[in-house]
Amino acid sequence: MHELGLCDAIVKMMDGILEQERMEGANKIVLEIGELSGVEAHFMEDSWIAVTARTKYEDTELQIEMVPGIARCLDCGEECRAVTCNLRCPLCGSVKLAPISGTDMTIKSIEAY
Amino acid sequence: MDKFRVIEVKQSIFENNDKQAEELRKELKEQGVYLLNLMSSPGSGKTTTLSRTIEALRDEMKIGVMEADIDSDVDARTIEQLGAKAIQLHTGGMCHLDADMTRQGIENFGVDGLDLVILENVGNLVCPAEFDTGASKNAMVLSVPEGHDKPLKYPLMFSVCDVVLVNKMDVLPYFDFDMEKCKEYVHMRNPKATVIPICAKTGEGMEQWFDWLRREVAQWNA
Ligand SMILES: Nc1nc2c(ncn2[C@@H]2O[C@H](COP(=O)(O)OP(=O)(O)OP(=O)(O)O)[C@@H](O)[C@H]2O)c(=O)[nH]1
Ligand SMILES: [Mg+2]
Ligand SMILES: [Zn+2]
Repeated sequence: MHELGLCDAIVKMMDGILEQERMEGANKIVLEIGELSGVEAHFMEDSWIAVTARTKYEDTELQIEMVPGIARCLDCGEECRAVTCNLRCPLCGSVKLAPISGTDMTIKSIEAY
Repeated sequence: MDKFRVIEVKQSIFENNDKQAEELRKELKEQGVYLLNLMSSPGSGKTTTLSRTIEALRDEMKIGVMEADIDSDVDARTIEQLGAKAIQLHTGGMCHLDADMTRQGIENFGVDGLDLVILENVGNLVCPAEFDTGASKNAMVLSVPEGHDKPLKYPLMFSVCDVVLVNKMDVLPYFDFDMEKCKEYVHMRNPKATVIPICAKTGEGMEQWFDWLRREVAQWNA
């Protein structure tokens, strides 16, 4: 569900970017997805196919690069990869973790024609 | 001339929306319309809370409600019966409202002369948090049966909320819901969030919530 809405947002952004660059369409789009963005890569791939079907982006390949989600412990300062530490600091056990990277999703590049 | 070109974009998906949201917020401020974005899991009591709120405040201010929750107009009709202006936004199965959809809703609705517009967002705790709607403030309803550890599981939602209404306080004795822990977890995500326990069913404890809203609307129009 969520990923459908995101694909829709990406299509809107691509329309704008291609118009600005005076390009017609795209062979490929490269997305960077943060591990803590709440976005699932394989749902994204499925949604991309659904959202672009019978549109000008039907043949545009979606390439996904994951960005590791790093969290810092607010109690002891330890940094860990959030997906492997199960919402607890591996050093002191605190649950006060603040994400420091991997919360965003960005369009990295577009191969346009 | 080469036919293909790689455009280095480096643009956040959320950034575009953030800009549109900022614009909408500014316009609403100029018009003196306070927009509250109300979020929650499905069934936690948004419509019931809204109904009580309209009953309490309808003589003090002009209230409008935009319902985005699912594609039926049941909730919108409930609200209309209370004498508030209501509109059903058809989201086409979308999991959230973005700033552009909110703007379209506002334009169709016609907010002229309204003091307070409440947007009942789509019932889920992930997507609505990622898209700024352009609302003045964000509120969420968390109901007791959902558990006090929700802020740990949905950190983003709680970090964007200005006020968290803990609803269904009447069933507290039947659940191992720890209000102090809940407050602690909410404040871990957002130290400035206000947590207000309420019971929308009986109307108990809702004065503090009405006061919060009164203050917000007054400040917005100051
Ligand atoms: N016990 C109890 N039940 C409540 C309370 N507030 C709401 N409910 C019940 O919870 C159910 C859902 O309430 P709604 O107000 O429709 O919730 P909602 O968030 O608008 O639901 P959706 O729009 O379907 O996502 C209804 O059966 C309400 O009667 C409360 O304070 N206590
Ligand atoms: Mg409802
Ligand atoms: Zn630690």
